[in-house]
Amino acid sequence: MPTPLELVHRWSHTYSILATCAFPHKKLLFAGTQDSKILVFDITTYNLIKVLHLGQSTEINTRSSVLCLDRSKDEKFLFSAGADSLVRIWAIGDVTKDSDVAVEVDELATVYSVTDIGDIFSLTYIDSLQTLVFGCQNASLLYLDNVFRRLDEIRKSQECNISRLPHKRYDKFFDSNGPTGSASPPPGSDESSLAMVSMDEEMSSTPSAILEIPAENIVNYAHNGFIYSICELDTQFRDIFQQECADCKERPSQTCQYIISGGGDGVCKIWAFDATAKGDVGMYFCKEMECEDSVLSMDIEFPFLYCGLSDGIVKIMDLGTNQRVSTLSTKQKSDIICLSVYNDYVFAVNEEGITLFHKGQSEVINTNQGRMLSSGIFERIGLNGKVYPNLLTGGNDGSLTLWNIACSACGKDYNLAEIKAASVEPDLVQHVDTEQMLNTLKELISYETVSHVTSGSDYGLASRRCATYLQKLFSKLGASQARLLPVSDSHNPVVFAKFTGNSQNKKKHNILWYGHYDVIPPGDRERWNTDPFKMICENGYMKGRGISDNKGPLVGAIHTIGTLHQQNKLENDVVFLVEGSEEIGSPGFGDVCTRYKDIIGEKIDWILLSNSTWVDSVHPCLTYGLRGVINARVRVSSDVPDSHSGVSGGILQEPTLDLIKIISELQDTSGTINIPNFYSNLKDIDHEEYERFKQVSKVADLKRNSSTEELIKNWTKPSLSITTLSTSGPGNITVIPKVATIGLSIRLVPGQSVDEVKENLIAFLQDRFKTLSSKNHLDIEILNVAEPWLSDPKNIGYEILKEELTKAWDTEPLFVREGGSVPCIRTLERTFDAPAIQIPCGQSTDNGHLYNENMRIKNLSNMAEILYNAANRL
Amino acid sequence: MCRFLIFKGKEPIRLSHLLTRPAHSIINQSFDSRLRLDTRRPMNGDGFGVAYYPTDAELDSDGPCLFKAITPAWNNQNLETLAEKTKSPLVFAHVRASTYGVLSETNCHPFTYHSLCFMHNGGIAGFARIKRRLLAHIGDTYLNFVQGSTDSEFAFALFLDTLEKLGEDPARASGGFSHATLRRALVQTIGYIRDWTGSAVGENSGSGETSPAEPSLLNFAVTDGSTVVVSRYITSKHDEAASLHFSCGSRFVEASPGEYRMERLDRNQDVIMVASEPLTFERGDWTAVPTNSVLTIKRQTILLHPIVDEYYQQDPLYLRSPTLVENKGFMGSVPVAKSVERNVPPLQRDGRLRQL
Repeated sequence: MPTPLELVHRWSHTYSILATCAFPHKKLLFAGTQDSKILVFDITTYNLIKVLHLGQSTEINTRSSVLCLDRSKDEKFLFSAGADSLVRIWAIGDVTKDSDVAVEVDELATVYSVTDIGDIFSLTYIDSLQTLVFGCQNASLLYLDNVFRRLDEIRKSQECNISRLPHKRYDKFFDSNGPTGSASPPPGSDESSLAMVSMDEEMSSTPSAILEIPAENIVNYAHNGFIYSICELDTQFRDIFQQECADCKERPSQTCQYIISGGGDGVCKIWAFDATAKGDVGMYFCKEMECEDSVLSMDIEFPFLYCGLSDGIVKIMDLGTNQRVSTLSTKQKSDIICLSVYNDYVFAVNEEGITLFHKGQSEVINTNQGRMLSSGIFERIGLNGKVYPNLLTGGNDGSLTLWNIACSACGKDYNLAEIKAASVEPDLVQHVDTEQMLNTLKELISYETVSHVTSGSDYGLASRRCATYLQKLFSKLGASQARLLPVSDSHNPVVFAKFTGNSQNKKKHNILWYGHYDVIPPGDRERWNTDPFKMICENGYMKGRGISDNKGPLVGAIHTIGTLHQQNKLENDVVFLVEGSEEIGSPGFGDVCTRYKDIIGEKIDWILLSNSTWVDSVHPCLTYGLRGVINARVRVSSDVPDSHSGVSGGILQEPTLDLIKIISELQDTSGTINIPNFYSNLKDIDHEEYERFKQVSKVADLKRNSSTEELIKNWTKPSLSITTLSTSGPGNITVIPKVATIGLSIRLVPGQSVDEVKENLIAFLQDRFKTLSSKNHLDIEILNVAEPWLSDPKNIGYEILKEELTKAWDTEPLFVREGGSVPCIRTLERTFDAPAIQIPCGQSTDNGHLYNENMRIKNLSNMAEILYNAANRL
Repeated sequence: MCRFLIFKGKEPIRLSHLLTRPAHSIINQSFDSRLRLDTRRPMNGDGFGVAYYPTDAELDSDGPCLFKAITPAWNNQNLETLAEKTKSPLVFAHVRASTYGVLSETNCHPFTYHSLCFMHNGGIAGFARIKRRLLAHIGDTYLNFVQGSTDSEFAFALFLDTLEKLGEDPARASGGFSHATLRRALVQTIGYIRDWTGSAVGENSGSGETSPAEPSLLNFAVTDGSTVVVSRYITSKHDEAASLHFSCGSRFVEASPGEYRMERLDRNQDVIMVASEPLTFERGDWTAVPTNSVLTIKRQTILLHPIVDEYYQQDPLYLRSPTLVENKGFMGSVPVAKSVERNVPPLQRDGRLRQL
């Protein structure tokens, strides 16, 4: 049996996850924790969007651990209960997506019992009767019927809620009779100070209503052990039971509901809930089934009841005939903490992990979550209306994981119309399916597409496979053309694809998206927390080499255009040029552009790319300028081999010294670069740009270059850096090297011509070298160059994107320039005679080129949303 | 006011974690006047006893190790060192304030009989009036087994006799009685005492004894080394029984010196404690055993059964009066954690009445 579980996402928390509840239509997940919190996750972006604290205390407390969660079918209410013996009712508002995915959560009411019920282990809500049923540590079963009617009554009554709340908690220590036989007033907590405390609390939070369980709704000794589990039986069971109940004294009506409770006493009991004509709900015992061992968990799939017992036993009962059908047993004999069943696939969780039973076979799946404490299956609704069964598991290491159950196990489709009717606000619907993008990225990351200066390595094969994969992807998404353009010297091919727009009315524009599929080598894999070439999704982020630079943004663009095309909404033509050697300076890319210009497009209107990140982790950016670069290697060598400083020192003219002398003349003591005409065409930035930079330095959380002046230097002034320094020989302190080499990286800004600076640099160094009258030889090698790029941030393209970014992120983007360079950007602009726009996708914390490269999923989905809306406007 | 404590764990625990170290340990309860409720007898100074079942299979037969002394528990050097160096997965501990019988080691709880171990918190009202009846009821073996003079020990003898009459051999060295049998025997024992004391009301004992109209407090605990059965019972429909709480969790950990808490990571009951008075300062960790019920620890699972008789209260919200047990010093106090949540509804455990 192939494992049908595929990890979708993993979140981490510092305390155990004890309960989970999914709201598939609202696309939310709720997780109850040991430290008295309910975490709310959004499963479109996988972000933690809210944390609900139980109780007043702000410090960490484990007194109110959340042991069980349930929801109303309409997803308007969440019910939580746990170690504090209280059930809380939360109103879950509609999900909004103004800026961030957000949801209003209000604590509506607290339900309590004056009896000492201990922990509440199980909870279920019967929608049709508005009845909350919960099972407790003291073996009692409690229910509260007509919950919302009761709440309304409380609200209507003139009595103020606040006065009903017993602020003054009886204190056994202070309030007890002391040795003198009389209660002493608690020191330091007299009336006035208590009043103060409660005043403060009222200020800080609206007190919710409290509802007490009436005596007649408490069934003491419903079991003779802790009531670990309660399941609601769906209406299919009603028909079966009503046959049996024909001669029952409390003959239930056609609208009655059944639940089943499982206890530590090894018994499962079925109870009926029935409303009287007046609407009051009564609870009646129907029948019970013996399981011998403690029933720790249950699940139901008509007509079977699955019971998870101690010692790794799962018993399957036929509820129609009250017969035990089958007994399953896990390898490891520990308690079945939780149990979920989906289409005959049984997921039993115990200490060892998940044991999956299906058709007589079993398999153990280790999820690396310590000990798992909670699990649940829900049907996730995809954009296409299909449902994807997902498994959610929580562990004692604080991890919460979401799994896809493979489609062989799902085999069920939702009715699309039904989904539409149930779905939430239309503006919430994503246009581009994040799940599809994640699936594509999972594949794309797995190709180890490291680009090498020398071609033909193993990595080269991976790159070519990746290029082919992209080509196929383009075809699948409906590209009218998708082909690989060969690059000279056997460098990795450029993937070209074209989507044809359907615009009839207006003049179609032609947009070119530039991206690259190659990546920087992962470096020391030990320093990665995850496998760099296996995409892992954690805490709302994707992780893997190339996810931010540049595979993530690339996939965002491909899927967006593909989706528009498939929806027949793409108006403009869009071409993609995806190269495979960007990280080594795009060799041959310019040639390809020129050579295949007729295929790519004679006239391009906009060039788009996303090859950098925001300046911090919160502010979306648009980049309109990049510095250029000249990377050069300067080398001085001697005809004499490496020699000993004791033997030859003082006799030789040493290459290292020559090199240092000439290099030292490149810059004077004040930092001015001495290359002739270096500064001659430079202009100071204008006032408008200064204000723009000032804004950036004011709002952005910049780690480095935080002042406006530093930004100006970094983004608009040229620089010269010595980046490498090496010598020949063994590196011994007494050896005079034959060769000394220095690496130079010169960043250029608009006004400076790459060719001129290059020539002047070479001439300057050669001239300085001449003055040394050295017998040594000087070599200057220009490794790669890029022209500086500066666009007009006020052109129509930037205006459109600014609007779309503002819509998606609910904040205006910062207009930034960058100190770095993208070699191809000017090549493209010149070749296709079109302005380029750079839209950074990820955050500054993405770690591009570093260890643990990552990108937030929300950035990807918002990028797709921005492009979706902008593609037809450009 | 006696106090008892039962520990049952999946893993053995060092006795000092139960007996000596916790600020509110049973030993400290025996002298800590801070939480004193009993104004008549301020100290549980009339000796103590600890019974623990060894982990070593070779030793684990024919009952637990038993250590009793008549010195006050807080003043016993041997207890201090033994507790520090002994581990066991099943411990019965008892500190005594004599209500009946003289101060002697034979009168200290727990009592053992082969694999079985027994202790009592409370008292049989008017025991003198039913003593003859009890002696006549039980077999010679158990009559001769009684060494001391307390009502509690006679109750144990009655339990053993009842167990035998249920067809078991109480002398079986390996123990291993079923939980149902042990529970039946204990409930039956309580039944005899209830019926006998009930019918003794009005009879003249001529000894100036406690009025038999006063209820008997029958918190019994018995174990055979694997199953534990504990009762919380009173022969009254209106008064509360002597306090009894239980707590279960994953681990019993020392959060700061002397301050322990029950670590509850999940629903597992790897550690189960039953005590007259909570040992930790987290009131949420402890749940009261309902009055007139039996708690059973079957392996690491807690079962709760009601004792349904004329003293059973059907109404779950009926508030029994704590006055009697408070006066007699059988009401344990709940130690309070440093931070207490104030905005939560009341619990009966906290003794708060509903004043809405």
